[in-house]
Amino acid sequence: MNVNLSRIRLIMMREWTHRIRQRSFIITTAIMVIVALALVLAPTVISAIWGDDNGDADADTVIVADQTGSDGFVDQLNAFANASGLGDAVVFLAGNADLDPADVVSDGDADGVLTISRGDGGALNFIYTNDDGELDQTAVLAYSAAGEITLQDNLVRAGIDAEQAQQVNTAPVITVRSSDGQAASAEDTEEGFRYSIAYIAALMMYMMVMMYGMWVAQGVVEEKSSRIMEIMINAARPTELMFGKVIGIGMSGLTQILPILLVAGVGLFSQERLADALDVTGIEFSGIDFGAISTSLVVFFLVYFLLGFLLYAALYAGVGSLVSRQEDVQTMMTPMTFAVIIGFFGGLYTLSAPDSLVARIVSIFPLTSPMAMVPRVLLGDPAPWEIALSIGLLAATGYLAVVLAARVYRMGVLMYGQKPSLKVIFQRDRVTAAR
Amino acid sequence: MSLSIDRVSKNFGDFRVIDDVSFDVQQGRMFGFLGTNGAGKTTTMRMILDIIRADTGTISWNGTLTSDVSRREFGYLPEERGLYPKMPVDDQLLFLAQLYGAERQAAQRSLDHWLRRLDIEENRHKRVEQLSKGNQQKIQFLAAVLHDPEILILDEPFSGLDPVNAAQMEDAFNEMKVQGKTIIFSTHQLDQAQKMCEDVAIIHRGGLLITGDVQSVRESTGQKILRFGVQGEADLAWLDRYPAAEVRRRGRDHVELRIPDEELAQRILRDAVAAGKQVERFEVTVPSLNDIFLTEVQGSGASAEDIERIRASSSGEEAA
Repeated sequence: MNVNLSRIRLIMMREWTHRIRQRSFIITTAIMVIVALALVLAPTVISAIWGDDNGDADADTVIVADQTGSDGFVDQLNAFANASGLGDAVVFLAGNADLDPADVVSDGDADGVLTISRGDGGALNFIYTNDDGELDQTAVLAYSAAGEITLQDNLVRAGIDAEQAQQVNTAPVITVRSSDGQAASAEDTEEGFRYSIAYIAALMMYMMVMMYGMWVAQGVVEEKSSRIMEIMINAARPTELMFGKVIGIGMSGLTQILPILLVAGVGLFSQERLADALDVTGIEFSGIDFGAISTSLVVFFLVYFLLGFLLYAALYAGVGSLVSRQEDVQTMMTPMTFAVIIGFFGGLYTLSAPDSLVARIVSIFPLTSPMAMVPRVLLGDPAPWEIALSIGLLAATGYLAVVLAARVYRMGVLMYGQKPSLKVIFQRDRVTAAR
Repeated sequence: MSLSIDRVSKNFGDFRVIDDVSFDVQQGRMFGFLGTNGAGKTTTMRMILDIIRADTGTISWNGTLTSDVSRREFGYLPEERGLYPKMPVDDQLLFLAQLYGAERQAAQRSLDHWLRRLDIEENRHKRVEQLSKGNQQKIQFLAAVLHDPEILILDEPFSGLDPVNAAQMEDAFNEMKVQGKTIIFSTHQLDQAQKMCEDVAIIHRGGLLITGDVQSVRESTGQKILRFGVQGEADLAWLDRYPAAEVRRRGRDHVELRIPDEELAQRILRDAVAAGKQVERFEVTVPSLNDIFLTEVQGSGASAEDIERIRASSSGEEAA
């Protein structure tokens, strides 16, 4: 097929520049950027407004008033906090033996005071003072630490040497497991994050195909109802018109999506700083590991977006060519909408069972693969030939869809208000010319 | 050097839209393509442009099938006017000119020229939907000419234009002709075609009735038109004595007759003078295109309704 690239470029640029200059495009994009930013920042901002107002972003400080005269308790306490995984949340500091706990707490110099003394029998005595006397996380930590320190102290006082006492007093190793037998671990957090990325990828693919596919359909119907089609078809080949239109609208879509992703990304990165600034605690950011988004993944997503969009946009354009009035677009689009939704469900299924037979099929079948293969690459282990087959099939189907859509479009020029039959669509050179 | 339509036929379903039509358009000529609504003018023009393809027959430009001729050679003003309603005039026209294959700079110069020429320069940056109908049509015309095509195919370019705009459009046509362009336009206003065209083709119900240069088409029947007026007599009932003379119209002060030859006109004049009548008007001309059209259509067995429609669409006084 003899296709003129400079004409495709012209049509593409017209679609792109004309569309992104429209007020409706600018306003919609601005609103979407704001909504995305709001969604990303919502947890932090909401905590800042409604969260605990005692909250400081730093760790709780506990001043230790050691009246026993022996030092080392502060180190032991901090070591215990670290071993319990709360090293960042609670810090024990040495203070004067004779400070007034109530004063220290009410002045706000510390979140709590741990007073250590010895009773008549030499046994250790602990008093923990905080502002409301409640058993909060820090109090529980102090309580547990006190238990361990007391045990060690008792052993030493019973005549066992310190090193042996240490060994006897080894803290138990406790692992918290979930019911599926997987240990909660850092790897798990990463897995969760990959899952989120996979879900977002499928969802975005679905939304973009749906939204921008609709733009293509509306663009075609606009050309039909404004009757400019007849001029366009005279100046350029239908295939050129189709490729130019689909690529141009795809670019408009990316022009809308990229600022949104950029702002959302910046929002995520600046979360911690924002949390600091707003004095918010208790939000876990450590699970967000952008390392999971590799360059190859981004490229992968883009390839599937471009090819998947090509396929779906061509189908939308073909269906749009059968419609004469803007009002009829929605009705005619219903089957298309179903196809996209089925694709999305295919993607969702892949999330739960990435290497199952169904997932393998939907990640290769062209209408579902854009929404299923990216999650599968993230969560499962597709064979290279599967990926190659999937991309190849998608590209071939996309190309065929464009050519077919071009033919329907071509024929639509001459048929206003009547429904062309499938037979007519496939007839060459009869109602439609070969151009 | 010509556009040659050779034995072209086209069916839509079982309906024969164009039936074995042949005619030539010489390069550089102003060619009128005439017929009533539904006669097949638009279909033929679309086939010349290869928007639809003939079932049988060929259409070629200087020996090359028009389907193989570069799109740049054709400028097209479709009957169904169409532009992007929300796109500014200048962006839109430059886009279309470039799509046809014109250089941007050349198209820009041409645009400047034509906007001045058609007196619509102040609309340059407006969106098409903001323009009046007449101005939209001028823009549509520019969409057909900015890429400097050799052949202009203009479907009903004058419909819906007021007299001022129509005159400007006519001027524009003449400028294109001076540049050596071949202009083919369709119209159902035969008096306008007679005024503007060098050559015409008249089609009716898909078949070609007659084609050739305007003068030879008008003389083709050999008949004459006599306009005859006598002082004090409006109806001139005595003209019924001449069965060969067909009264076509009775005006306020004269009667218009179709006569087979000039001789009859002289006889009527002599008889009137002999009867002592005071002849105020005596004018013998060749029939107008409209007359020819009516003659041909009647000859081709058109219905009374067809003829009535043609009569209604032609204007009152025909120019000689």
